[in-house]
Amino acid sequence: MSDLLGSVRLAWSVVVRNWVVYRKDFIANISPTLADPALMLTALGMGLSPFISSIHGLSYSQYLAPGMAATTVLFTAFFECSYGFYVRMTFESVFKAMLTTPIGTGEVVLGEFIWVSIRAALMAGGVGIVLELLSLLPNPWAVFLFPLIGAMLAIPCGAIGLLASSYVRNINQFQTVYSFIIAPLYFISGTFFPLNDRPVLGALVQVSPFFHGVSLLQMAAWNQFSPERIAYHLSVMLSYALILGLWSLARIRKKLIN
Amino acid sequence: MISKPNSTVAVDARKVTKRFGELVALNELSLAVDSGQCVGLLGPNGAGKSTFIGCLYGSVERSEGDLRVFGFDPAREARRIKERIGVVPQENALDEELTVRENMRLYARFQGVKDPFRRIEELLEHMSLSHKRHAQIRSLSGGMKRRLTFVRALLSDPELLILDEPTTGLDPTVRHLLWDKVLSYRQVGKTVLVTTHYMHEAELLCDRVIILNHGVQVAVGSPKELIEKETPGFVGIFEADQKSTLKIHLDSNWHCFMQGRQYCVRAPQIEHLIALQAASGVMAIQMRPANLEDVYLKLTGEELGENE
Repeated sequence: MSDLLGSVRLAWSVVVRNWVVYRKDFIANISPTLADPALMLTALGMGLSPFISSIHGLSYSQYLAPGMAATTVLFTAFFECSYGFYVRMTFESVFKAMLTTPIGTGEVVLGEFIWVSIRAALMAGGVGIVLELLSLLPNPWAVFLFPLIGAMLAIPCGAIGLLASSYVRNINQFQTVYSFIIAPLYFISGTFFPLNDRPVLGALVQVSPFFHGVSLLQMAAWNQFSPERIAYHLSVMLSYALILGLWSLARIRKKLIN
Repeated sequence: MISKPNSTVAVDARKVTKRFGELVALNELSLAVDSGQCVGLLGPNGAGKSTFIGCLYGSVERSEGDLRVFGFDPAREARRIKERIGVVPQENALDEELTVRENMRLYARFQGVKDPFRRIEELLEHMSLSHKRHAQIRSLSGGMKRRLTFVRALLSDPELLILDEPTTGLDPTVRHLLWDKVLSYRQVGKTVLVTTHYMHEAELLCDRVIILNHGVQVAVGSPKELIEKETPGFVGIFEADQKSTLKIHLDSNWHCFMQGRQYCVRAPQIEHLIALQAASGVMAIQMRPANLEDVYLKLTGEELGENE
C-alpha cells in the first residue's frame, strides 16, 4: 500500500515537472489547442450553418459544439504524448536523469497520463465555457461534464501518442501516425456529421476510442441521455483507456530500460 | 551467500551477464564494492562500464547473474536502491529551459528531500554556484552544468555516489574542484563508484580500481598494487626514430613498446634509464615512474595495436 502511495506521489512529481516546464512557454503552448476549435467553429459553424437546415433538431453550430471539445482533448493528449514525450525522451534525455531518482518507468507513464488528463479536463472545460457563452449548449449543465469526460478521453488518446513514441524511428514519422490514425479518428467519429444513417461507417467507427468520447460529450451537450448508451460508450472508452494504457506502459518501459 | 539489506557491501555482483542481442556487454562479471570505499571502473569504450552502472539502478536489465545493491535486487527493488544513491550520468540531462533553482527543486521533490530550500542553497554554495541560482540552465558553461549535475546527485545526501565519466571534457580547474568534492565526500564515510578514462583521476580518487575489457574483469586492486604487479619500474620516453640506436643497449628483461610516435622503455630502476641515455647518447624526452596508464595500456591497449 505504501508502495502504491509512493508511486502516486512520484507520478505526481512528474506532473509537477511537466507543469513547471509548460508554464515557461504558456502562451505558445496553450494557443494551438484553443485556436483550432475556435477556427473550426467559425469556419464550419458560422460558415456552413446557413446552408444546413438542422441535424436532429439542432443547428449545425450546436451539432459541432461538443465535437470541438472532443477535438481539443484529442489534440492535447496526442501531441503531448507523441511529439512532447518523444522530445523529452530523446533530444532532452529527461528520463535518463529522472530514472536515476526513485521514479521508475511506471511512474513516468502514470505521470504522463495524469498530466494529459488534467490538461484535457481544463481545455474541455475552457471550450465548454466558450460554447456556453455562445449559447451553443442546449444543456447548460454540460459545461460541468465536459472536464470529466475530457479527462477520461485523454487516456486512450494519450496512449496512442505514447505508443507512437515507442514505435517511430524518428520524429518525422509522427506525421504518418497523424495522417493515418489521428486525422481519420478526428474526421470520422461523428464530430462533423452524424453517422446514424450510414451503416458501414457507423459500424466501423465503433472501434475508434475517440468516437465513444465524442458520443458522451454529445449526449451531455444535447441533453440526450440514455442509461444504455452511457453505459456502452463509457465502458468501451474506459476499456480502451485500460488496454491502450497498459500496452503503452509496456512499450515505453522497453524503450526506457535496456 | 547473498548479503542482506544494510550490509557493509554496497554493491555485490555475481556472474552478471548482459547481452544486447548477439553482443555480450557484460560477461559473468563478479565484483564487490565495500561501503566507504571509492572504486574505479576502467576500460575502453564499450568495455561494459556504463552497462554495469545501469544495471545497478535498474535502467539496464541484466540477462543473468545475481546483483545486490545494499542487499536489494535492482531488477525488483530499484526504488529502494534509488532512494539511497546519487548518480552523475554521462549526459547532464538538465532541463535547459529552467533556472538552476527550479531544476534542483524538481529533483529534490523526486528524491523526497526534506527541507529542500536549505539543502539546495547549501549545495549550490558548496559547488560555488550560488550566484547562478536564478540563471537559466542554457546560459551556464559546460563546467557549471557539470557542477550542477553533482549538486543534483548529492541532493538526497546519498550513501553511494555513482559517477559515470564525471570530468570528461572539463577544464583542469573544474576537474580539480570536483575531485576535491569527491574526496571530501569520501572522508565522511560514503561510497563512490566512478568510471573514467583518466588514469590520473582513478589514481587520485580510488582505493581500488577494476579494469574491464569486453565485459570481463581483467585486473583488480589498488592503483599502487596494480602498478607494482603489472608494470613495475620507470618509463623512459624517446623519439621513435631513435629506436634502432637504443635497441642495441637494451636489457632483454626491460619492456619496450611504441606509444603513438614515441618509443618507451620500462626498466626496474631509474638508474637503468640514465645509464641507457649515457650508453646510447640518446636523451629521453621524459623519464617517470610507471603509472596506472601503463597498466591500463598493457592490459587493454596493446590488443588494439595488434588489431590495427
